[in-house]
Amino acid sequence: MADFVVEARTDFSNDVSKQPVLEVRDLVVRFERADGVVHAVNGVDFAVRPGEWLGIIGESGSGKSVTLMSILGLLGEGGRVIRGNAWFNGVDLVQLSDRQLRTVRGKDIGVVFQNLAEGFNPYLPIGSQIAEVLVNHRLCTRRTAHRRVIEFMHELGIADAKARFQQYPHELSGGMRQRAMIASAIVSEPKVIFADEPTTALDSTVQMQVLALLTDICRKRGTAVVMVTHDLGVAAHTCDRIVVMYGGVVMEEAPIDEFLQFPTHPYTLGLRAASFDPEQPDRPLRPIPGVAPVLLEAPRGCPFAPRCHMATTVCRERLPALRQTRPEHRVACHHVQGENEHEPYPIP
Amino acid sequence: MSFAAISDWHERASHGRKRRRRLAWRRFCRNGLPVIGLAYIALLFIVAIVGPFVTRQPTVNIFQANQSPSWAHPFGTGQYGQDLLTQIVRGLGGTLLIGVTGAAISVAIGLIVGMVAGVFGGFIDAVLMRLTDFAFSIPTLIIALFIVVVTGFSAWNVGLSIGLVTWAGCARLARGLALSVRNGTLIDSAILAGGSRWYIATRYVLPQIASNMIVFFVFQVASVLFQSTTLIALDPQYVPLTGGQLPPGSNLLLNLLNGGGGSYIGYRWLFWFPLGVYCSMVIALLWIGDGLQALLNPQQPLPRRWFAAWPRLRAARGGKGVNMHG
Repeated sequence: MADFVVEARTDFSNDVSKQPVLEVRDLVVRFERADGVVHAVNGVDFAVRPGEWLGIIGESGSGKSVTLMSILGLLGEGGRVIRGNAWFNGVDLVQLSDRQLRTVRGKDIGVVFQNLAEGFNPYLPIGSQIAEVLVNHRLCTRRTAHRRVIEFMHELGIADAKARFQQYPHELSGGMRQRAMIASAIVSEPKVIFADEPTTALDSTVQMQVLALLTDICRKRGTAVVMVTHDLGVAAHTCDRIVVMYGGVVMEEAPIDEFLQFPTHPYTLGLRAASFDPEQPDRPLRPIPGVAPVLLEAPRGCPFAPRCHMATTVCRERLPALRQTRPEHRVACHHVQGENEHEPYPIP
Repeated sequence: MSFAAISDWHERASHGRKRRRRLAWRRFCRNGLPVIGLAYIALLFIVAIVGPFVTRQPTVNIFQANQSPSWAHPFGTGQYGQDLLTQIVRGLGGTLLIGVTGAAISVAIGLIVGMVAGVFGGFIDAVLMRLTDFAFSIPTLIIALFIVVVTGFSAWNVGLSIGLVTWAGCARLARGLALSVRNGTLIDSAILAGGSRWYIATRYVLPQIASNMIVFFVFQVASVLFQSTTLIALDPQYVPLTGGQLPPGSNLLLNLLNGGGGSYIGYRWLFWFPLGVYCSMVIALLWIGDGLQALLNPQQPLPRRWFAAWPRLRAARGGKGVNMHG
């Protein structure tokens, strides 16, 4: 793989003994809609270690964002966590009441939203909105908050932070607004940041700037990041570990080097075939046929089976479990057998 | 270009609450109409306060009935020989008081009920909305009349009673708007900022629905005045003019009711003068409402200054720069 991919690594992830800061186990989320129950997340497991960047990739509608929002109790109308745990600091966030959760979200877990237009209140100056995080969570007084926010904005490369503090969201450019969003997520010095497609709304130069800032600032503080994205390039650039999701199920999980060198799951291979690879610039991009399903009933077999070129009867009958294929590399596919039997499939 | 840059620099040089207030005021003045409206309403208030001391005493003189406008009676006289200008000026105080208190009470109740229902949802929402259904179902005018008969006919009581029975529409509107704001990234980020329900309601939801509420308020003023006129006329002991005075708790629309029909037989002033004063007042309120919407919304563009020429003069004299681009 290209060199630039390898350099952005932290060494935290190699330290397997480190206790995960956030551990999600067997999470199941359903939405009750007028047209039936949508099975958005069907048993997701993952863990993030301190300082680690975990990338969750997959198509739209594969349950990536819902997984994160359900951990924070921000599912919205009709959404409910059916079972599972999200261990954070020795507490199961899923079990917490809304009031208890209020002391965690935004304070110990920061969130960077994708939707820049709606992420900020258009009626309040941007600086005071960031400062509200500190004030509402009773981390410091309004005066100190004001000072700290300006420091943070400065650190995030917002020029003339003092004047920006008083400006309204619509007076800032997209990149500035995203920086401000990052500032509001990180100003309370959380242990984990959920970044929900943080750079999708930005153009690619600003995107790289913002990502560099985010990696930099998180590395300095040892903040773990869970980033949802569907951009393999962005993921390869920044993440330490990748979780591939489809149909609300984890399909593959691997450290980034492993993931880039030995992608295993047919879905992962499909994603790779559909995205640009600088190693093979002439290769035509091939979409995965079909569309991601809206799961109106719990998937019986592998959720990817209807679109998979390798699917057999067993795929449609039984949900494959995540199995270790190589050290730290786990795949949920019936056609991937065991640790030693691994053989990468050709790109379809 | 350079001019814009300089003025931007001015813009940025001052910040904080002062800057926000200044920008808000400039948005209010954006197209001049709100300022005209504000000036007009202020004038009406002055007339309402000073007028009764300046105009002649209200009298009835049957020998001077239905006279067309003249120097002695600038607005003409009505069917009982009452001076129409006197009647309108004396009705103005009641008009403003009834309209504003009535609309304020009804919008205040409606806004609180609707927003609490919308923001909290669930059981509270269900209870408050059933209450609103009930408020919708009551025959507003009759209940308001009962309240006024018990408390006595006065401008305050008439405004209060109508406000107390007409808040249901506002509650519905406020709830709907609050619901449309509630589900979205914006509120998620407010929750993440550790905001309590109260904080979210006042800082996130209220500003979003404020502009609709302002428009509703202005229409409510008109509606309250109309209803209060009907209320007075519904009073079993209604007498058009008691000793030459409009009945207590009435407003200038009553002049229209008393004599407007006279325009059929050529007494046009009886129709046009009360109607003109009333309509111009409502229009002025609408313009103020537009200005308030602009004032509250920081995303509104700043003025094209065809109305407010004075800052340009000030800039020419070497005062503060003016941002022509807004």
